[in-house]
Amino acid sequence: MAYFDHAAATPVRLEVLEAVAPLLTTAYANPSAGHGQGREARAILDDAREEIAHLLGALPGELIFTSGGTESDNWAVAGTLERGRREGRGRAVVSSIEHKAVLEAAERATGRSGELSLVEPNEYGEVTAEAVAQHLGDDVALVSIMTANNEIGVMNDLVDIARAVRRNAAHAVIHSDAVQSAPWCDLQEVTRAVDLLTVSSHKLGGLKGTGVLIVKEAVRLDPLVVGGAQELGRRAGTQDCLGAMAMAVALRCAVRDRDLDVARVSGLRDGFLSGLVALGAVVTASGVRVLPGHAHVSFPGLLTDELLVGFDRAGLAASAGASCASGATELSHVVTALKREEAVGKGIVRFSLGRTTTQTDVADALEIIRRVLDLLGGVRSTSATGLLD
Amino acid sequence: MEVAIAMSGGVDSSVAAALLVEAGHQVTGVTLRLWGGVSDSGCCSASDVDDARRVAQQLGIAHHVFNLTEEFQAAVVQPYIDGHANGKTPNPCVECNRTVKFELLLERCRRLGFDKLATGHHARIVERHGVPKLARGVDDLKDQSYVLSMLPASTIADLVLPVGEMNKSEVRERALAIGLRTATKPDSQDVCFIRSDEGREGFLGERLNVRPGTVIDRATGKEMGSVPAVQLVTIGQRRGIGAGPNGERRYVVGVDLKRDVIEVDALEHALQRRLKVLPATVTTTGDELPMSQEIIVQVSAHGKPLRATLEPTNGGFDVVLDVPARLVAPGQTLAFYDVSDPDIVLGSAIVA
Repeated sequence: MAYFDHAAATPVRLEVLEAVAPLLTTAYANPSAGHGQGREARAILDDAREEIAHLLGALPGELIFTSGGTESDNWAVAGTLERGRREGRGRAVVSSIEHKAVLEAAERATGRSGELSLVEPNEYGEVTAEAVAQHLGDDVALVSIMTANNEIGVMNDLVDIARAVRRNAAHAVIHSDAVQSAPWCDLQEVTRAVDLLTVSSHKLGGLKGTGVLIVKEAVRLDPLVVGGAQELGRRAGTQDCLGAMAMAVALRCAVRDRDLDVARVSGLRDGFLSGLVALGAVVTASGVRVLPGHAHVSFPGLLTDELLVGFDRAGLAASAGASCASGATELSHVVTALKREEAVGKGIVRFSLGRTTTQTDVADALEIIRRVLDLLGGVRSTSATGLLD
Repeated sequence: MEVAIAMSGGVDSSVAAALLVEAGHQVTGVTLRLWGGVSDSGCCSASDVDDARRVAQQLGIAHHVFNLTEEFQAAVVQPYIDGHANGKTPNPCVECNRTVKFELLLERCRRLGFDKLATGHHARIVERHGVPKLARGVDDLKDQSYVLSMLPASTIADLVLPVGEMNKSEVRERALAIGLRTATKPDSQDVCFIRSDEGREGFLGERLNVRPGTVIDRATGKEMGSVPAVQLVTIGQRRGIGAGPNGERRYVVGVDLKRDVIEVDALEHALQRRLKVLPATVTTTGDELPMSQEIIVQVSAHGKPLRATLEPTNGGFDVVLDVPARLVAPGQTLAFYDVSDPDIVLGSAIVA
């Protein structure tokens, strides 16, 4: 089985397993408890908080553990807008290609007053500081722009965007969803530039169900989950110490291996993309910065559903990026926002490589894709270069 | 054999999948997401899809969901709405089978390399002179050959209908014996995209500009009352249009959407022997339909089989019943069966 869905979930790192497994039956105490075992659990949690904060460029007191990226995004958006409304500023500026955790939270929070400004990406999926600047003003409470898009992998310059926001929307809180970029990018500069930052553990090789929201010291944020004084009094609920530890180990390994992984995986990805283009695929994002593992393409004239089932039957795991409650694929809001339906078409597939992907995987995947395209009758038309320009 | 089984999340297709696995085939479950709106099964029919997925997991087979909402809207839902706006009563299940399940889905399965497509319909594929033919299911009460009667021979050749040989009670017993979670799930009764709390009236009422109509007794010309939505009245209908002067039953014999008038009459005037069909809608299961010979015709999903003869006309044929029967609404499907081999489907046509 060739696994090309690392952007959805990537294998747990062995170092994580080795660190966490022995503690599963011993470090069970509640970290809020005052007894010895509780203190041991608390130490595990505090060590993890300190290490993750350090690696992301934040202070330990700025790092709150959550149940994952979705909760962090929801909290950042709803908590900021709730407070903003009380202070007479209710407008949110978010990109139209944010993760639904940001988009729907913003729609819900601004629903009554309708103060939601959507920033459109350029045709290759980049959200630029100039595009954001057009929506800024003194009435803006929140700007939320992702560090890199989860579907197409296109990266945004958050430092540049944050600079524009500070100049033109003095009261705005800046949030960025860095879930997809965390495995590949040094986020310290981004952390310095923004007020709130979302990172999730399982994309790093940690465990599902752990994420963090960095909340900078100066930022006041209404809580989302109430009912206890855990997490510095900002997020209620018994903490998952070993989940936190797993995230710390995973992030430590990601940072340690980053330069090598980025070079190796982006090399594999580029070779893979060349192979896809030779088979008639069209690359969605070109001429922009894309995360090392993402290969988002379309197969003109074919349908996503058929491609994915064909790949699955042949032993290749990939995805479309968007699906509904039934599990059926849907036309993604990200692809729609690129406004290139004619070129991009319906045969969208997101292949995503990860640190465990090998050259053999790439060769196997290309061979499977070739066979499935043959089965489905091949792509219907291709541009000369495979790139959209 | 590599078989794709269309799993609705109901007990019939669940058992069909189990039977295919038991028979040693390589089986893959597929569930179609057809209706994009809210249904009795929740948004995107999520709970039915859950049932199908759980059964697939239990059987150890792969399961996929295909999103065909746009195609379903275009080929089934919109024609259903438009039909009513134009005085026709299309059968959406027949249209779905014709265009979505046994055309789009079957083509997709062929492209993906499956040898056969299976469903949980109560009908059978039987051989006659070495040729696969569509036949009634063995359970008279559950027989679904009518809603498959429009399938061409090329489709029938690629079809497997594993539960057609079983009674419904046997299907449920089998599901219980295997421990399938769908074993006691009630049968679906209605059109899948119409919620039970809105009904046909609610669904069409929201999507059509419904107009009130005047009910007139055809015999006397007298006005008898009114109906709230003239487009929802069907030829042959008895309910909701009042009774005659002495309380006798009245039947709809005419719907005039230009004047918004419903004509009603006593049963003896609401019968017909000769049914006109739309030539373009005639399908056959392979052989030519036998002209000027007795056949059996069924005018609704669970209607009584009627004896009839197909009489050639200019460019087509009329269906002439041996005994007059209640009027059949334009848009309805007629299924034809072989009089000498009465389980065998010969073909179908839509009433003009």
